[in-house]
Amino acid sequence: MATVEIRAVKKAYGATAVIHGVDVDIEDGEFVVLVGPSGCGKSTLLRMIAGLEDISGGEIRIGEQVVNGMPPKDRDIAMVFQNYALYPHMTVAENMGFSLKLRKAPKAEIETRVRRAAEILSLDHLLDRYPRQLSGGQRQRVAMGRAIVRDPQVFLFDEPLSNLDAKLRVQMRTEIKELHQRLHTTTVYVTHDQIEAMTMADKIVVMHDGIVEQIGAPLDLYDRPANQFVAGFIGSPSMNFLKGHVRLDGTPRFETPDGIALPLSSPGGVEDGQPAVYGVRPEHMQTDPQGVAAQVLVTEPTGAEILVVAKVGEQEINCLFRERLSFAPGETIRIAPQPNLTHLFDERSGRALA
Amino acid sequence: MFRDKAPWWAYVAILLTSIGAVLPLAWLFLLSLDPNQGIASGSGVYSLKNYASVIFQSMMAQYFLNTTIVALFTVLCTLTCATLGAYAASRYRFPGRETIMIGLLLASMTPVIAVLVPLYALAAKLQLLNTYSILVIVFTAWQLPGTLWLLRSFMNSIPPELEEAALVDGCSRAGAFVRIVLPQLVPGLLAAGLIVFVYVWNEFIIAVSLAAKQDMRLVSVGLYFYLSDFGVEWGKIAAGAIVSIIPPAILFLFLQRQLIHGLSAGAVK
Ligand SMILES: Nc1ncnc2c1ncn2[C@@H]1O[C@H](COP(=O)(O)OP(=O)(O)OP(=O)(O)O)[C@@H](O)[C@H]1O
Ligand SMILES: [Mg+2]
Repeated sequence: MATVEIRAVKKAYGATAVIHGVDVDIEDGEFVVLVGPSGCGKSTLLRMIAGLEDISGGEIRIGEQVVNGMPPKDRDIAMVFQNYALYPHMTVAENMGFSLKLRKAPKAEIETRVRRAAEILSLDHLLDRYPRQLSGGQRQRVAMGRAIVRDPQVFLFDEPLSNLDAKLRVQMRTEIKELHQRLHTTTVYVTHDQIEAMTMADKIVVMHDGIVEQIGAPLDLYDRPANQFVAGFIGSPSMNFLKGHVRLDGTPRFETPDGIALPLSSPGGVEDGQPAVYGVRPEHMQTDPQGVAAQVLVTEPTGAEILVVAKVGEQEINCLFRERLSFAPGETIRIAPQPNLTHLFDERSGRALA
Repeated sequence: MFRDKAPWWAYVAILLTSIGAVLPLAWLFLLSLDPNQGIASGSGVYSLKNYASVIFQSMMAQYFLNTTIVALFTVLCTLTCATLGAYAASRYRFPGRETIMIGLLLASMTPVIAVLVPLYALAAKLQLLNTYSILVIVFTAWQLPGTLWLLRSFMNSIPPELEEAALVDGCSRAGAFVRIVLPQLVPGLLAAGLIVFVYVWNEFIIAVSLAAKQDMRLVSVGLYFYLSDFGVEWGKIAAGAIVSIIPPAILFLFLQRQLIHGLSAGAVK
């Protein structure tokens, strides 16, 4: 187990810079999720921690030691790949024991450790099979088994669940989390799925176009997104954004171009008439006789909740209600955000305004 | 593959192709059993006399030995160079990579005849005429581009993550190559090796030009000289030809599954 420090790390392929100076501190035993849209550089960053990519600038430390020039084999890390990368010509047991064999561990020790890892992952009955004789979910487990047999300083996962079907993914999510609670090994986990990030992480690093947008605990990011990108990325369905202006004459409020007024949570740090983006999560909308008028476009009931797409003036807004409400398309309803759960972002920079 | 039963014309086509392929061989075989002279003698007498005289009273055994040695060393050299080259061309990016690969392919399309005279001159200058070495060197050079391309496409189908996993697990780059990449490459190596072996076995023009001395001949060259050595003894030539088919045929029988797997593995997936 170890800490991982990432300091001003940059990566360029030739003239194309893909990571522009990233700082992340990972504490001992922490489960950190790197999340962001496709192409934002998550895998590249993870692979730099693993030593599979050169570091173009900055510094990475694993447990106090700078690893920039260190080959992967000396970093004492284990990695689980998206396509599992099981060695096709080795049985499950050989796959799991490979790293120990390379370190010339005694045969008996390899066997006990493989057996113990196999028990944890319920792979006992598959030890003599070859990877091609396994289902996708079983391969995934073997890949994890190969990682935990080693008892490494750090686990690295690159989208390990994205090749599984939806149900299995949820199950493995729980299993990985349980495994971490049991082993307490420092873990860096890459995903583009924000639900995975929210449910598994101690700490989330939101990346976008090669920079870190925000680092924080899952609920921190949900409650206090630092900018419009994080606000839109975290949470599902994503946050509504409405364009308009801040009005401070009389009651502080947000006014859309159609003249519809919406309440502001904390109107500090803004000027009267300042153009801004108003953010409110679908699940923070409620029906309210005093609210603004909205015309229902579509309703999508799922049983537990109902998603209503409605029009406020010229802009669309999604509302998620937990009550059993039935609205007909075209109907006009009155809705309002729950007090103190709205956000305001700078129109140009997207930064959260106080 | 598309339906359970092939249409009738498919059978006809296969039958005609088979007859086309087998008929000359069958004729050759009958001829080799005829102890009398002449192609059309049809004496109705059959014996193994021709085989006996080819095997025991000619240099055929020596030619077999020559060919086997040259073929094995050519396979070894070609596979070694091609594997290393294919690994570099598949796993590393370097300027001019594709240009080099295309250039190699173009070079391999040169007709043999065009380079025969310079090759002869070069071999003579190096005093390598009538040696195993010159045959191995020239055959290796000749087979390298095709083998390189075959092995590279094979290598490209091996996910790089396998090596990366091995690096993380504790291998050096060379260790990952030996422990992970090579075992995956075995079907490709078998296929490529077989192709090269059969090429050497069938090669004639280069062999007759660079190593025509009696005790250095390859099987194909030896057979050709029978025409003069025995006069026109068709029965013996036929027997020699049949015997010379045996080693590649045996190899094919043993390796055909790997060969088909190896040749198609790079393509699909
Ligand atoms: N070898 C390379 N040469 C040039 N650019 C590259 C190379 N590898 C990756 N990139 C670029 O680096 C950026 C980050 O890639 P990376 O694989 O880290 O994305 P990612 O966040 O993991 O995305 P995904 O969710 O799709 O896996 C991408 O824009 C990609 O095009
Ligand atoms: Mg990725």
